[in-house]
Amino acid sequence: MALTLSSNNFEVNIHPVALFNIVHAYERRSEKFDTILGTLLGTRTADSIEVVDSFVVPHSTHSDALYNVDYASTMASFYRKVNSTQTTVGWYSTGSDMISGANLIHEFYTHETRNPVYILLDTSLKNDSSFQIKAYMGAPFGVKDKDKLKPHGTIFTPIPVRIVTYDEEKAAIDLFQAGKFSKNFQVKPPGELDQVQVALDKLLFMLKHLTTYVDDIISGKKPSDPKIGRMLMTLINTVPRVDAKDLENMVNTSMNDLLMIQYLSQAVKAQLVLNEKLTST
Amino acid sequence: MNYSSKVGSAAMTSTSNSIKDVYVDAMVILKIIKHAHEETTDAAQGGLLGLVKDSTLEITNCFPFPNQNKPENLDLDFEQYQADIIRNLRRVNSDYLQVGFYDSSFNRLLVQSMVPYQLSGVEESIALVYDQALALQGYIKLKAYRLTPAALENLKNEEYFSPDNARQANLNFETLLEELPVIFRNSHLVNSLLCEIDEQTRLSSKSNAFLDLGTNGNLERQLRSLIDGVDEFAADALRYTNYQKQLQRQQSRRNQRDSNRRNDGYDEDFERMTKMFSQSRRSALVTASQINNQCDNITQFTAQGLAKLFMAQAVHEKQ
Repeated sequence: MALTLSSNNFEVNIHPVALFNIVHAYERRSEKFDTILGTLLGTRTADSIEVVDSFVVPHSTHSDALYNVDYASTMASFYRKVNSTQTTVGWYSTGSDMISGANLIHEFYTHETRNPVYILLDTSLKNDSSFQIKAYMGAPFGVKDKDKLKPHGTIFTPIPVRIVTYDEEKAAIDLFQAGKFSKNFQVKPPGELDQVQVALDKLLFMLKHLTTYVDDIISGKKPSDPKIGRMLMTLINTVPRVDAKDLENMVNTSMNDLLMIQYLSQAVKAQLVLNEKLTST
Repeated sequence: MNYSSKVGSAAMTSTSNSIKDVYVDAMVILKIIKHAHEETTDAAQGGLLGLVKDSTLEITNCFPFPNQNKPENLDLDFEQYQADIIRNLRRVNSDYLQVGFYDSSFNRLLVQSMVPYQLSGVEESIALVYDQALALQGYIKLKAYRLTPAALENLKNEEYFSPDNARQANLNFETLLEELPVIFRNSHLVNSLLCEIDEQTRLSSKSNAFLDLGTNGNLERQLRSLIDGVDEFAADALRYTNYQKQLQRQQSRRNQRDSNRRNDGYDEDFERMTKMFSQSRRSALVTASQINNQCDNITQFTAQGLAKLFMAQAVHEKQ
């Protein structure tokens, strides 16, 4: 029996959107299902797959997992209309263990794309109450059938999973993190000055952390680490040394620009009001 | 761009505009962000799905509209696409009530497009506006707008607009749209997923890009769109003065010939003139609200920039 793996260092990068989609669909599943299945969309390169989105596909709970193939392909075509680079890259299921009939579904997906990835998201939080995200690649396995040349089963080998985000996604997720422990689990998008304050608080926190660490080392409470020391040196050297007068010039010109634009926009607004008065009589 | 919502609701709640808040699911924002990230040429637009509950509107799902300017999508039947997607989402128990649309830019087409949504579908439909360029810097700005009842009354009919009615209803560019507060709310399972994501991505935080002092790119973009809006508005203002002149000319001609002829012959010209005039008034109103919104955006943005500059100055003064 031949075990063929396409490449050794395959890894899966998954965006939070796909995970949220899965959780959303899981919360809305009908009562008779324990787990849900769906398709993963994304792009693939030679040694990694980037999962950008996902959608759920209805299935039935007969003994063979009847999978709604039409639905899967029509939804995939809709997503492709919006973004033509999104293709099916695999499928997912929820639950703490692989579903029975996984190899059949995996075979279906090998028709759609080369080397699909199977992601298992543990929504039941069974294993030390954390969301475990596992990814598997399938390879043919088993005794070869006499007539057909393909072996029966598939062996799933785990591959590493990483969560990656675009910058905007990270900003949004940071915003949601604030809502985790708040009253009513709500959080509002911040006003413009609040955002500055939040960013400033974060910066202050990090600086404080660093200064307490350095103080501890100086007073001997902690052993000094040359690697961290070097990193701190590079950090301090990246702060540009500008002449005080030049700096003041730069800051003043920027401020003047901003103030001018603010004044202009207020003037435009005043014009609107004036126009309103003139044309409505 | 033509938005249309043929998929109406089965049972429409008849509470007129008693929505106070808009609750948005985290997934919806992430999907909008992803779509805006991928759509590089035009604005990213899509539909919002959700439900109305008491005095709040909950947005639980959304789907993107394909870009109709792309060559492969030119012959796309838009309504069919919408109906298909909503039907498919309904099969997996997602909410199917279309409660509005989202857009990553604010322009006068937005106001125009709100009318069919609020008329045909759910009365509480909203438009969600998301700024992509600001989000790249780490600032998530999301606003929900809705046409006021007075605005809806007057803008209902695209062909016919009466400036007198509008004035009587006290409709000016400020009362055209009202903004609703947006609140993010997540279920418990989603919150635990957030904890997991937090653990895995804590170190890859780029949120410090927000404190970057280089605001010129964004400012240029905003000013450019403001200039476009103002140009359009100036054109409308010019049309107004032209109309006044024509009206005067018409009146004097009429007074001259009143004694000699019947009035029927002139009514055609007059009709045409008043129609063009009322159309230009309508577009002036909508453009004015667009300019107003952009001015507000610019003011907010410059306020942020000033705050950052003051901070930078304070830090350097200590040396």
